[in-house]
Amino acid sequence: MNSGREQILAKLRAKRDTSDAAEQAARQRVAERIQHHAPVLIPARGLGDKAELLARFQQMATEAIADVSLHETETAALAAIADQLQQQGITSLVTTADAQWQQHDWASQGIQCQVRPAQVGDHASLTPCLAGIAETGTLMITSAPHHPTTLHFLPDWHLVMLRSSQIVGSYEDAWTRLRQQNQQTGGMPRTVNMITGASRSADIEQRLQMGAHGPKRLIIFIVMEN
Amino acid sequence: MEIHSPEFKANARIALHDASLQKALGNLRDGFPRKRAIAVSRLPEFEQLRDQARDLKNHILSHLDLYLETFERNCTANGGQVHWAADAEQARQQILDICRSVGAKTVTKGKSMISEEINLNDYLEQHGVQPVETDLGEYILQLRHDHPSHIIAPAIHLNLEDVSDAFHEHHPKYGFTERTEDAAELMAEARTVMRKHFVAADVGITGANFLVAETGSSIIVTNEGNGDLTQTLPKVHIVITSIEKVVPTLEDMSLFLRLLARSATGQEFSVYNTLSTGPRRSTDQDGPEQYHVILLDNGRSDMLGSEFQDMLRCIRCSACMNHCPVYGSVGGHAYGWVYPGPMGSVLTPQLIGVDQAGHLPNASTFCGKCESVCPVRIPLPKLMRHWREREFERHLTPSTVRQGLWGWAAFAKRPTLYRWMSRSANFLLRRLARNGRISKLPLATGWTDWRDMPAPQQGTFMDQWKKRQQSEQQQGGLL
Amino acid sequence: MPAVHTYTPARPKVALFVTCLVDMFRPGVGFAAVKLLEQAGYSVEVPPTQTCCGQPAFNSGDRLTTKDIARQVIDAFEDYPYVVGPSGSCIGMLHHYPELFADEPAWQQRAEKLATRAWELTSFLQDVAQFQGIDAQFDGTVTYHDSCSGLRELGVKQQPRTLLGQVKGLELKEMEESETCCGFGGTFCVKYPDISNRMVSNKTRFIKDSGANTLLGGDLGCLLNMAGKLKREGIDVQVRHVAEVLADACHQPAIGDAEV
Ligand code: SF4
Repeated sequence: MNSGREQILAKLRAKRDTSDAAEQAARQRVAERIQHHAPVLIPARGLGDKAELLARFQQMATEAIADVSLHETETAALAAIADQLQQQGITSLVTTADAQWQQHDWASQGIQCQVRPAQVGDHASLTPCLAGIAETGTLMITSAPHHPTTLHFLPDWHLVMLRSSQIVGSYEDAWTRLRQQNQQTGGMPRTVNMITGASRSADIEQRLQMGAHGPKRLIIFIVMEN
Repeated sequence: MEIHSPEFKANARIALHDASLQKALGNLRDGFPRKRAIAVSRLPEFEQLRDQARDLKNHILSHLDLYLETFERNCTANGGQVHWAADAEQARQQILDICRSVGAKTVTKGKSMISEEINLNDYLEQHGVQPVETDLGEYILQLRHDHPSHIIAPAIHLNLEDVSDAFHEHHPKYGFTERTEDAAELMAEARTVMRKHFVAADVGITGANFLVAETGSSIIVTNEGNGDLTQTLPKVHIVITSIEKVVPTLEDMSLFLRLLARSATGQEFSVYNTLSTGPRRSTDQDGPEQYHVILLDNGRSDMLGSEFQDMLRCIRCSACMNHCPVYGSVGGHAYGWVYPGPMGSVLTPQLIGVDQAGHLPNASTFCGKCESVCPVRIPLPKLMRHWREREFERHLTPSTVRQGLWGWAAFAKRPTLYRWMSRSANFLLRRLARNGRISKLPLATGWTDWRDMPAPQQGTFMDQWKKRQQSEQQQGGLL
Repeated sequence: MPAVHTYTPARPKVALFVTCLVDMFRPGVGFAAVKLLEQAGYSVEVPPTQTCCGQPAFNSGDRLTTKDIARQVIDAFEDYPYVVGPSGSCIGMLHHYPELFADEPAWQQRAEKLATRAWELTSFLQDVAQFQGIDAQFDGTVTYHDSCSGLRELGVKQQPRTLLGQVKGLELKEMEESETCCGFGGTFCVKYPDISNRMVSNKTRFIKDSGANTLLGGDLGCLLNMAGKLKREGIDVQVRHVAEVLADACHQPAIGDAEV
């Protein structure tokens, strides 16, 4: 059935030394590389102390066309979110399952908060994330039982709660966090999103337009922890 | 896609006279290269990353079967299904079989050059499955029955009016009856229309920028978010990709990701870099129920170990074409098949035969700009030269060129004859010149149709030098 | 020994690789190169068996002919400590020779030795001779085209500019995209003339927009191409090889200009 497989692998193998010793050495190199998964080169901008990384994250995310704001507590961030939605006349919010978010008093500001996957027509979503990566202002967000991926793509606005302790320097730091999480959850999630700014396209005459198929705005609320 | 590479010269002539194409190409030249230069200047480690990317790719290529097997094992362990396709026909068949197994009527597609390479859309349509391109540029092309002219900016050859026309013709059925020339409105229109397709599709097909052996994942890199909706909403996600895309680990992938966006669009990072690993987990609320990866060979294993192996390092960033003065003059369609620009000039002869694509590696001045920006340091001019060598060996080089070369070599190998030829040419050209230049030269109309030929100064250097030496010797003798 | 030269025997020797275009089209560039090398303290010889570097064959995929010619060049220039040529393209070709002889180690070694001794004129003057004694006057504004092979194969970029900085009266006005190919490309310009024309047209526009009244460069092929186009378009910019300006040898008409 898989004749293609044998054909391809045989051709590839024919191109390298497969004598016993060479084969063993090659297999060992491959196994070790995968097992160690060592970083190749982390640029200086992926390194720094907490304050530097926070500042760099803010700068790079802003440059990538995301809105970034700092908040003392999560409660304060939730209040800011409600204010912002209200100001724009947005009356519905879809979120992941998070007890504290559900307890927030959305109704008093005329907002209906629902926990479900996103649908066409949703105006705004709110999700947590796994890490904020300073080197390019990138969010790493993973799918989970109560964290559907559609929340990141279908709504017009994607709001993200980022704890300052989640800010790391480099992609490699974020992979480390992902591996830690995988240990708890039992493996890779179906989807790992790395999101840098809001959706855009320059397919028409090379001119940048925001909001192609994904969210038109990416709004990041950083909760300061010490 | 039909092959039009043999008509490269005619294609190029048409392109050079196409004013709207020339305008569009002007946008390209002023855009990507400038942005890339800024991004590179902001990352001091960039050149070092390029060296390491080259070395890592070489390591991968010398262990390719092992990394592919590792990928397969881990992908399968996460519930994915891996299919190996030796050629385009096998890949198309595998995709159609999967579509049929779920009774698919429509499939959404993220941008994939491999799907162009295997001519997937026509094939699916012929077999009753309607593909819908979801990348904005690709979607516009599909409406126009057109093909990409660039590997990451597929509709780069079009102008705003072309898009307006296409939407105005095809979108009234979705309620958009007004013609608009506002780029933002056009995009909003596409967004609305496309959402209907995203939700309706039974299967989503994407490419992959990399495959991660360690985790069995595929990654797509986009700015629009269409690829994510393509691979999340339908019941089935098919990844169509090729064997050289595998990388060992997430860390290794990071190296390439740092180079990719900066080399391509000059962005620090693309908006969406998304890893997919297997189908949705049993407790997930969305995501596809099936995850298939098609690993296409289609001639790539032949390149391994050959003088063209370096080309397998390519990460499809498009920097080479963005900076190529030939691409910038004639655009991507002139190349006559899927892959344009310098990378296409090396890859296309391999994939469709050098007898068909012979012009491509010849239509280069070897200016070396492509190699100087390639993130994985592929020596593109050298590889194009290797194709010229193959053509020469196989007597595919035009006979006029061969004869000219033979005649020239006969002189170049004999210094005395060469002196005579140089002297005669110097003399003749001076006879033909008026006011220091020649405006029409019968055997070199390729030159004089477009520009004057400056006249030589009197007498060859070698003759004058000899005279000078002799007179110095005489003077020396007199003293 | 020619008595007219009063050099001390310690003067290091340089073999001039004239290049076929300079030989046939613009011997003045060859003499300018000789003058500069002598000013820099070298004794110049011109091996009489030299012809061409073999690039036309190399770039047409004719490896056998290329190798024949390469052997001839290696022979002709073997005994000199330095080989210098007024062309980045031809000297760049000499640097390609080792790859031709992958299966002939003896020749490969000789080719490698040649490559390490072969220098483009301005980079030799600047990087090897560290020549500070340019004695020239040029009253005008110039713009400089970086020819591809010199720039990307040999790293020739600052050297000609630094040397031009020593020329009295000269003002350098950089054009846009000075590093973009002019469309010459050897046989390319006759094989794909209309593409070549598009490229050289872009170039002449940048040259004109620079506002300079003279275009300089280090490769005669490119200069003939650009001069020919400037003339055809009636753009009043003079074109010269950089060696002519550095050697104060601009008494002859510029490339493509009428003799008076
Ligand atoms: S050849 Fe190099 S520059 Fe061109 S697309 Fe491939 S990786 Fe990018």
